[in-house]
Amino acid sequence: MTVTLDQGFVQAYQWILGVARDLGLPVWLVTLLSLAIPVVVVIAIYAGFFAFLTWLERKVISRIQNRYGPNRVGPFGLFQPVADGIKALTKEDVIPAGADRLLHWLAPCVVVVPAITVYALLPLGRNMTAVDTDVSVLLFFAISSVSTLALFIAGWASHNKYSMLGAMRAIAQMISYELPLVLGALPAIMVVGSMNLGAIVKAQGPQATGELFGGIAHWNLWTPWGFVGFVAFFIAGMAELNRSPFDIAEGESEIIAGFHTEYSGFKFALFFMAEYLSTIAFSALASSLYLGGWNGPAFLPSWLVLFLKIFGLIFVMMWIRSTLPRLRVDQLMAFSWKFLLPLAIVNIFATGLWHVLPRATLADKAVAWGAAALVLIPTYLLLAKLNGGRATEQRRYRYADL
Amino acid sequence: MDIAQLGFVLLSAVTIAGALGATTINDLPRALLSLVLFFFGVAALFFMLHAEFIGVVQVLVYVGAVAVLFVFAIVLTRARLQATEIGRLVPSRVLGILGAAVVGAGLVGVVVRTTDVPLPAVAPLGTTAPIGEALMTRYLLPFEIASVLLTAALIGAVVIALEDGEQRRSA
Repeated sequence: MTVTLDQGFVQAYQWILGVARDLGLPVWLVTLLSLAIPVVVVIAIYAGFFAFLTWLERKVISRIQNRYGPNRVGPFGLFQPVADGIKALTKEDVIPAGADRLLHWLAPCVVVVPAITVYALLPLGRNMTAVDTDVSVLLFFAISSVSTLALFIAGWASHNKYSMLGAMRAIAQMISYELPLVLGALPAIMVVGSMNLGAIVKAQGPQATGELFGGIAHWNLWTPWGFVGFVAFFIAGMAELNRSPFDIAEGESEIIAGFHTEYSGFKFALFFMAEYLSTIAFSALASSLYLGGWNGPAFLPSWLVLFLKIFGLIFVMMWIRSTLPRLRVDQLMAFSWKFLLPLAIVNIFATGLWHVLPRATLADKAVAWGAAALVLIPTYLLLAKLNGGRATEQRRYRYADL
Repeated sequence: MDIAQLGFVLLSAVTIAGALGATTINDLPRALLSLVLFFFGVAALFFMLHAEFIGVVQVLVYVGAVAVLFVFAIVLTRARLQATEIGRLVPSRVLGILGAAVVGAGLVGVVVRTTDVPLPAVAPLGTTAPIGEALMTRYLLPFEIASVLLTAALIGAVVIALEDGEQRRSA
């Protein structure tokens, strides 16, 4: 067996388990070890990744806004995350007098759990999925929906009107954007015919040896439904992650910092960490569904390819964050329910058309593209027209007003 | 006792603790979190049975939707100000206890009458695809009826939240 860079992690894992078995350790201990190794490695690597991302985000936004950003601690301010971590650890942990102490303590713990758990489902490289279930895409959404509850606990337990407002905004926003998020992921599942992320990534891999950049042409993004699905999925995901311009749940200028107003020190850092870890996990999911996952040119190891794709997507998010102002609550809701959701539903119809039409020859392909475009482009134009430029008035309800 | 049995016992303990907490804790948000723990326990038990799809749906529907519905109810009704005592016996609680007793008796009856179920010789390869196939072939009619019902409920919700054009014009 030759050790390769691509499979190095997997081989090291097998080697450690082999040594453990040779030492005559009991079966339950080996089982426990086989479970613990991926957990420890994923948490160590991606928590380090998180620290680096906080630095990168500040640097990128500074560059775009014509500032310097962190540049005091270490070369280019690279050790800023370390300084921030020490600061967070040594700060006083303030708990408001009216707070529910148990829940106030519980919320930052609960918010981190789903953010880390979802990594078990992601194919982080060739043969590198910790839990390879039949329904991993759906399970990803199910686990990440728990973070809604964590934000509610945080807002409720703080006993502060700003926290409560932030929590309510967060819940409303996450519920609204979960629909376009799941519907945006659905086309990829439909075409591949499996909810297993590994199978979806494989379907986008090179179909023959020596294809350009490891089968870049097979990415789901290069189809009409894939393009629309990816854009809907990406926007809904950014809202789900509470990232700017969808960060009304925090809204520093309106409600101080929303649900984590009353958190200080390391508890605040945990909220921050959960947000970044979810961002990385979401980018990995988006890459796996639409950008070919770990498939890449043969000279790069598969996990590095996925890392680069994650970085690319996160860079786009930083770019959007530093250039767009925050949305208003009503704009946010209208965008989800009146634009993204209908578009995602029509996109599913287009996916069905694409799936049924033959695509063997060039002429067939042109027909399939034309059919999909005929469905999607008028829908987009119609939705853009219906949503465009209406001033908002105060709403009145026929039956629900008291 | 092997690891699987140990896991089952631990999960069952967590599930039952969650259920007990949900019914006995007086503070509504805490009771809700206890209920969420119970939902997770049930989902984990489904996973132990290799019914992954049902386990996922359990989390997605009960934790992702039902629990959040409770959250909205708590937030919008200011439950903290109107916390009621659990111990008092009001008519609605008596009805609730009766209903629970009937359902419980039915479940116990089923459990008692069930004999050992013979396991298939070969473990099924995933349950998601067979469920999808069954829904699209054998159970298509019930599936469609359920979707019509849900659509009707959705339209009803929209009607309730409808903007009142006439009132706005007169205002």
